[in-house]
Amino acid sequence: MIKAYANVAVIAAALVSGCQSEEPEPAPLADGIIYCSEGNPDTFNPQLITSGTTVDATAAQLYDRLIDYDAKQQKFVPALAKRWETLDNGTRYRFYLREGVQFHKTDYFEPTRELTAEDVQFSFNRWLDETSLYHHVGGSYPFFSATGLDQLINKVVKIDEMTVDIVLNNADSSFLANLATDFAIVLSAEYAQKLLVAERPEQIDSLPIGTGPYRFESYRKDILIRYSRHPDYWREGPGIKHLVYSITPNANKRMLKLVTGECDIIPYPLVSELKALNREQLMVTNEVSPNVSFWAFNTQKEPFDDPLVRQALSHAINREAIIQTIYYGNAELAQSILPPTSWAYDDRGIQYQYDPEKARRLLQEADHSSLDITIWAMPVQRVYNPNARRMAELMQSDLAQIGVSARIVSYEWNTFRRRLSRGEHDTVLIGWYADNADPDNFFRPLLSCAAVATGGNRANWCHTGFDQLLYSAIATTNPEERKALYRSAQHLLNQQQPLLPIAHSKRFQAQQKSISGVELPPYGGINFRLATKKPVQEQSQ
Amino acid sequence: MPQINLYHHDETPSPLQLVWKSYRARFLSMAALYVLLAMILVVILSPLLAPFNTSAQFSDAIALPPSWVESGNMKYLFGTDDLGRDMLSRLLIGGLYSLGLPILMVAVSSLIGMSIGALAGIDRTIKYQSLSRLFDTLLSIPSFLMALIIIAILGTGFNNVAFAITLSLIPQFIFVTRNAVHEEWHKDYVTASRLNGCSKAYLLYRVILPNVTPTLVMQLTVSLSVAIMDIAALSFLGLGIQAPTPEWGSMLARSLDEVYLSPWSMVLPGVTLFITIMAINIVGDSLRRALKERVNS
Amino acid sequence: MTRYLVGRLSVFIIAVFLLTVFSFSLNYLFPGDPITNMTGVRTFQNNYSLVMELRAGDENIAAQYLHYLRHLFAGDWGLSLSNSTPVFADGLQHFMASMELIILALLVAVIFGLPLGVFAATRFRQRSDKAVISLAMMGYSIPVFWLAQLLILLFAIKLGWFPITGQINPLYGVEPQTGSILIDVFLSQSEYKAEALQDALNHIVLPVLILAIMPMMLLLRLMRNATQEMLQKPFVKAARARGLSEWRVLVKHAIPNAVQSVLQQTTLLFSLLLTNSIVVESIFNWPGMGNWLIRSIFERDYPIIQAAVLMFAFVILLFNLLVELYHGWRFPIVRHEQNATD
Repeated sequence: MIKAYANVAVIAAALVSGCQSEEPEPAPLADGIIYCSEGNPDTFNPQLITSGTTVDATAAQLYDRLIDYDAKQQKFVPALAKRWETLDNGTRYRFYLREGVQFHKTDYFEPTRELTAEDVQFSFNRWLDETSLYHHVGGSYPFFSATGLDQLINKVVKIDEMTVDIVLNNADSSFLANLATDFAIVLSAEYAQKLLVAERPEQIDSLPIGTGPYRFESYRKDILIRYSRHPDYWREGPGIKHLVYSITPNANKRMLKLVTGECDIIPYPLVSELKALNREQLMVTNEVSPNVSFWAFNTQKEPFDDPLVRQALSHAINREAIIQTIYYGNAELAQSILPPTSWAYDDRGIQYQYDPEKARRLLQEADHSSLDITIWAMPVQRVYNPNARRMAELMQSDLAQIGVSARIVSYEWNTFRRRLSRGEHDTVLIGWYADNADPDNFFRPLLSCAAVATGGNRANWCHTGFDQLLYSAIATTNPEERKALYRSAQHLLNQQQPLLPIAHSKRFQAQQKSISGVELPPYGGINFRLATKKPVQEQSQ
Repeated sequence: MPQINLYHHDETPSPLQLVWKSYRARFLSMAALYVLLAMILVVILSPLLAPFNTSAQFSDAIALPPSWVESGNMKYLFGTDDLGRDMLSRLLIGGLYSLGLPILMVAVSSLIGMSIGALAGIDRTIKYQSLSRLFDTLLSIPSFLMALIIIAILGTGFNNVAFAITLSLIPQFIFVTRNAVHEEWHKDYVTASRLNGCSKAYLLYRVILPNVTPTLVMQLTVSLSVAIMDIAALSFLGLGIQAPTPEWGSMLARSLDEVYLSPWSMVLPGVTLFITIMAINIVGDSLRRALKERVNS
Repeated sequence: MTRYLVGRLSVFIIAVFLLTVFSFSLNYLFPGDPITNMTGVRTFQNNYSLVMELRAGDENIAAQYLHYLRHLFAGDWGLSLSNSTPVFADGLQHFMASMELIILALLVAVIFGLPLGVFAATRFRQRSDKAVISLAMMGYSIPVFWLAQLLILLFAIKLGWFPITGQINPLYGVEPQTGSILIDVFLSQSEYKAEALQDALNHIVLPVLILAIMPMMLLLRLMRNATQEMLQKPFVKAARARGLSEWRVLVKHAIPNAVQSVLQQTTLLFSLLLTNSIVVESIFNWPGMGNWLIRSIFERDYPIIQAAVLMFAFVILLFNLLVELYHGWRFPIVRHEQNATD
């Protein structure tokens, strides 16, 4: 029967014909790259979000930061700031801006001037200064409030046209690291001013203007984002003219599209499937990235406010099995929320064993012999969790063994996060990947009291003792002292168990071999700045 | 001992018997019927037949191919999926949702739809007459779309999906029953009975019903195959019965992530679904043919 | 004919009216604020009170409905709840994309289904008839989403003939104007129009083929049965007796009459097409109404759900009307029959 259809299709194919021609690709295909992203961006301004999808789609492509972090050299390198200096015992940083940095020229905006201190000041004040006209446009700035950067910075002072000072309330060892993240981008003050006059200020986040290697062309929800090369980029730019994000939420479809050549690069590939397919023109790259997936308990809800229950549930989960079936072994079992590569990592005495007996006993101690809970499972793939729903299924049967019946809940990703922020969940499978190299990035955005309000703290867990540990840890620059503080923090976390760390995953990306220069930075989103596409002829050699 | 016939007794088979007689004559029709009955039987007995619990995960047998493949294992006849769950058990229990549930839904909706349709068919006031075309027009909206609307209102979930599909099937039953009853109503034999002074209820149950039964049975098969397709399609799209419940459509959907590692996890539910629907369609089609033969003869 | 026309048109208009009543009531049936569901403006937004006034939110239901109707016909269908784009403009593009797929599939189904049906009828109960008819049975029974996956694996992955998703390779830079990709390519300013067109055709083959199979098989069976029935009618015998060739008997007598009886069942055909288009569009990421509807259900984007339902239902009603009118125009007997029973 299939054969009969095949005949029909052969005829159809013959009608269309020529599709298999060996001619070189037409020009638009040869100088463009299609990246099949896993979801819609929420906005085109990474200041407003912490979601990885949006960061991947915007940060490194449309914008630049004052400084960048070079993971290979493990140091901060100049970007929009050509150099900087620390003044006043680490409470004042002075940045000297680069000359000749051009903003994007598009249909909707034509810049009349280059980057100045005014743009930097405007960009920072947007999330820093509540009296800034743009502060309420777009709402909240979760990364900055979760890391406390908005509390840390006292003011941003323009010294002259090309010099800007950032004044801190107190010295903070994580400041530069936070400044080098994907979120601390620089917008155009001139564009903002123009929109204000036109009474369309919210357009600044939907029709973006930046200084980055690509400029915005168009966006169709659920279908694509179209970027083109920024011709006047201030440093070495991409070797391609067009960059298209083809939005493909389904992991299987993404992989098949890579095979058919409809995608040049895909994130979160089904690694084992790709290997089974064994196509020569494809390659899979991976990067050890600091991330963690975890199971967070909503500690503001009965019965998860009881640490005993949280411990019991943690003991019930067979995490080894999860690593094998969900990650196909491409991950490491997480003992702490901090990955082992971090210098502050310490797992002595904090390991949760898979022990259903103990779990049952603990549950009884907590007076809950049977429980009905919901497990919220992310509908999207993430570096740290390739398939949350399937993970939830595994956990469901683990939990059934200790008499806990679990229901799996999932919504479309944006709805999912909105409902999570409202605290509608019992427990949730989610995770985090680091924006910078500082261990603080794993604690404050995830588990501080400040993060409860911003929605980053999925456990809704606010522990004053724990908060104090975190704040003392960033107040000092002495690594030994910090390490000790983080050790205590990890132990406290282990007792309280507001969440169960599950795995630290390797980060994968699959691509056509003809593409090069697309980096997977260990911190933050994908970067197409140096992307190039080799012509087909070379590829076949 | 031979039975003594005192009176000459002419056998007058009921319309259903007549149809059955011509239905029985075709091999394919009977084969499809047997397949369908066997499937229903298996589904009813599935809790007893399933060798394992559907959510039991065997960590030593992850993504094992079916037993007839060399690397397969007799313990798991149809192999296991990527979480190490027995495919056979999941297919069997899945039948409860993919075949059992539709049967139940069709039963409920047919009961409601046929009652309304029969009443509408005999109650022929002028007002109704003029509305009937309008109803016919509105009924042309596909049941799948109606189910989607209901799910959009109520949200997904087992109960809502079952309710949505049941509700969306009712109009077709009303439509078919009314037309069938209506058509019979004007036939001479009904008129004769009516002139004899039979009550409406008697007319409906004793006079008309036997003659429309085959049509209604045919509509049952059509609705059943629609219900099965709808629930499978909804689950496939992620709006129906949610994983880990082993519904065939949702099994198919989740198998797509591992087509190359374990192709059987995609092929088996698909084939099962295909065979089930085909058996039902053949039964329905044969009924239609038998019906036509009866009318013609 | 006039009486028939007026009758059909008035039924159509009343049906559309009922449809708007239904879609209006959806605003109340969906969870949340009815005005928000109508307009996509959330209660905490600044312009909510303005919208409330425009929609007569604090007046009675009848007044609200009238305002709703006015906005509906003015093409103001509110904004999407998820990204605040105007629903009507978006909807038109999705509508065109769907229609492109559906009409092409219908063509394929008719072009292959009808002749095959006639062929089977002429070989009634012979081996070739049996082969065609069992094929049709299988094709009609295969779940469309499973078939789609099988064909994708075969044609796209194994053979590499066709791409899997979307309307065209996005690098061609064809911006949607009408929503129908073939038209959009013609309208585009691209200097690679020919290549773009070929690419678009390549994208459309697989979804159209998969969408066409079930209706094709249905048509085949209907046509075979109808033709076969006609071939036994007295007038065909009479035609044969007049010494007409079997071919002429078919073309002049049997087929036109068979087509007429098949036409009566096109409602079923069209609703099958629409139902399957929802599934096929989702699988192929085709930016049509079905895909739009399914996504909006996931995202609880009520203004879009409503718009998609309205468009779907409207298309069906319109299609039925057209078929009926054609039917009445082409076959006068239909007019008489139906006028008589009404």
